[in-house]
Amino acid sequence: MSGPAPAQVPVCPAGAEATANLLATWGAATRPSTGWLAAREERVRQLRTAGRLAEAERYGWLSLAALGCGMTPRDAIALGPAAASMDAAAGPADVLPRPLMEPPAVVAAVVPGTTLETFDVRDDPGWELARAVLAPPGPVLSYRSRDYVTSVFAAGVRVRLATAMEVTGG
Amino acid sequence: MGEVLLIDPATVRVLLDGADQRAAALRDALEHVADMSTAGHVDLPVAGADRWLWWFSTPQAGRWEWQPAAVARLATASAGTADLDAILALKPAAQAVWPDDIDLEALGVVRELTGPQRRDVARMTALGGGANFSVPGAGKTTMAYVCYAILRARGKVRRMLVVAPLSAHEAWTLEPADIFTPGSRPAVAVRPRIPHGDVVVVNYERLESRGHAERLRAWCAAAPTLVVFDEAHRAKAGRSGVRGAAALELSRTAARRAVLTGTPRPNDARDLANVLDLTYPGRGAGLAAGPARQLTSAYCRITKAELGLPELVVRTEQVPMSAAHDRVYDAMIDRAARAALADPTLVSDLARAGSIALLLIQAATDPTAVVGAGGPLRMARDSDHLGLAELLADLPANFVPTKLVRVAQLVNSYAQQGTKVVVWACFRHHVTQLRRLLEPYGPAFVDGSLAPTRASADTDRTRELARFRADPDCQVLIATPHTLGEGVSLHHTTTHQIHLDRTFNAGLFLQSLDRTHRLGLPADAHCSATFLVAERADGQATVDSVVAARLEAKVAAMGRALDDPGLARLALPSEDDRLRPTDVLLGAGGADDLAALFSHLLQARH
Repeated sequence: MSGPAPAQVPVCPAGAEATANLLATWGAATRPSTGWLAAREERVRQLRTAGRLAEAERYGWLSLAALGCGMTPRDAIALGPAAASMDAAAGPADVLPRPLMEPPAVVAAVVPGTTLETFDVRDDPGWELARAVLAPPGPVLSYRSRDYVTSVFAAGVRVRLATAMEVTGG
Repeated sequence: MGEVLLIDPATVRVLLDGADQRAAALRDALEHVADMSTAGHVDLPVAGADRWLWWFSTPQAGRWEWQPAAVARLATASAGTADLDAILALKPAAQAVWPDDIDLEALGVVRELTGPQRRDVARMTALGGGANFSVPGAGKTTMAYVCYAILRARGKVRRMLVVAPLSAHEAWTLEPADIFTPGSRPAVAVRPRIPHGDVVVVNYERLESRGHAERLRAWCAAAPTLVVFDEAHRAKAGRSGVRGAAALELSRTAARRAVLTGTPRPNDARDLANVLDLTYPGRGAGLAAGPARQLTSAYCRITKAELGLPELVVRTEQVPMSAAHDRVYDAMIDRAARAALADPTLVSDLARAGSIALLLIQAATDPTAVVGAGGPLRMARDSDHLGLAELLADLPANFVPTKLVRVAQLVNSYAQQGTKVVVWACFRHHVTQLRRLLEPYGPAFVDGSLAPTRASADTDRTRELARFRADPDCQVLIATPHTLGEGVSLHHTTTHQIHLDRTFNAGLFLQSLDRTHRLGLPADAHCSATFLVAERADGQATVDSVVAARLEAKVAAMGRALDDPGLARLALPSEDDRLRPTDVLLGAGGADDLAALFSHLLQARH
């Protein structure tokens, strides 16, 4: 699949209900437990409270992507928010792009209808990865205009996330 | 289209239409930073707007009707936020560069700052107030006043509101005379009914009164104000306490904020987060839990070693009890040991064991202090084989305990040299006895029976302190550490102190030492502290020795913490206005203190 224009990328849901709604909207097969959703919500809110807004977005999307690609819930929740570029290849069979995704970017923005300057912290690459791995399961998935065998892509993402976890101590 | 309004200088209200799908998205993204959330609206703080304003720029948010006043207020606030982000990103050394445009002499500052003070004033100025976690005696009041003068000169603030414990009000009132030239001194109003002047000083209890709190917020909002929370650990409860919540509200109406405390994390990281939240609204939790590098850029701290104080000469004098005193004391420890043997749970019962310890410590100095005491010892009413009542009745009519006699000798010795001295006594009974005994030396006294300031009373703490400082016939000040331990400087009057007795509370003890051994003393000043320790008539140790040993260990640990540029947990007192007897007695580590005491008692009986 090709990603939508960045303006359509939503803010990552934090709450359990909003997250479950999003997964249902996407038709994702993944059904996180209530406890897992609560733990993720707490982590996202901690990061937002601490002013680490871009990291909150990245963590929010990556934790969902991690579940989607078959990581254990325990590992998925423990991801480091800076598990960012994942540019190391997972092995000889890793055919995923290097880096898999760019670090979260924060860009200046203006609140519509005002002169107030703020930041757009939405994480387009994080959203794109989560969207790809949580799409309704099929033999092939699209990521950044390329098609991959779903299981191969999921395995590659899983290993890269695990590597990033080790690097960041997540 | 929803509306965004300014409902007070500190709060923006987002009016929500329940049917609007954006309401759910807004709540999901921002409810955790909201001051209040109802079905119809969400209130968001102006201070720390960077924690929520971002959401309104996202496509999900769509367009809102923004009240111009809300936009103007947020624009002002966010300008400061952007500055703060940039400053917090700097390392402490980079923050400490003295600003080229600031000449302290031109600002009328005559007090010479020490190197560490100058460094930290530069940092406080850069941080717009910031957090000063310097150890007691480092001159935090001076640094705050100088920071205020700089911010005022730069047009960042016009006035200052200080929230401080009552015991510190005197310092906030008197210090400007030493810091500024007469023409540059700010007009200070202490606890005014209606805030006015350049500087207003109030106590934390005023924040708990809704009317007072509203008047203070209005005063802060009416002109750019620096709000200073002195001994800010008193508001460490944060939003969960009435006082903490009111302090946060006040902080958010201010143009600049500062927190001062030597003990920012008395219990845990949440205390630190709440203290930081007062000066960096919305950022406390992030700073407290974030990387150490980020945290150290958010506070300044002068350590004990950096104070460069002259040596404090410490003397411990063993004072033997008289035979009559020894008989009473012996009967008391016998009764206490029997009580502990009869009921093994007693030692771990902080209330019961604590009250026994209090009585024994008092009795080691003066057994008449515990006449009529109830509780587990049933002191004078104990008419069984111990015969305490008779023993007390048998004391000579003119009985004066030896420790009190020794205090009188020492005071006389100081008076002969023309030197004033502070005598610390932990119990009001002892203060009363000392006042009688030291009558020839015109004693001033400060204990819990005196109000801080009360014109209608015969005297008050302020008048007693003034007399000690100014009256040449007043040679001695008698005070309880828990009443005068915090915020008062006595080192310009004397550098000598005598401790009639001490308790296990190392925090109170250290703070009492700091009253006469603090910044501002010449390097060659002669500073001393004499501790009187009761000794049994046969030379055996008393409860005083147990206290001394426990204090020594605690003070060593606290000393290491005070020399640590990091923020160790410290048990310096935070609630001296409301200390319970067991707080006065024990402080931190109370259970271990009582275990040590009862171990001593049981050994003494074997």
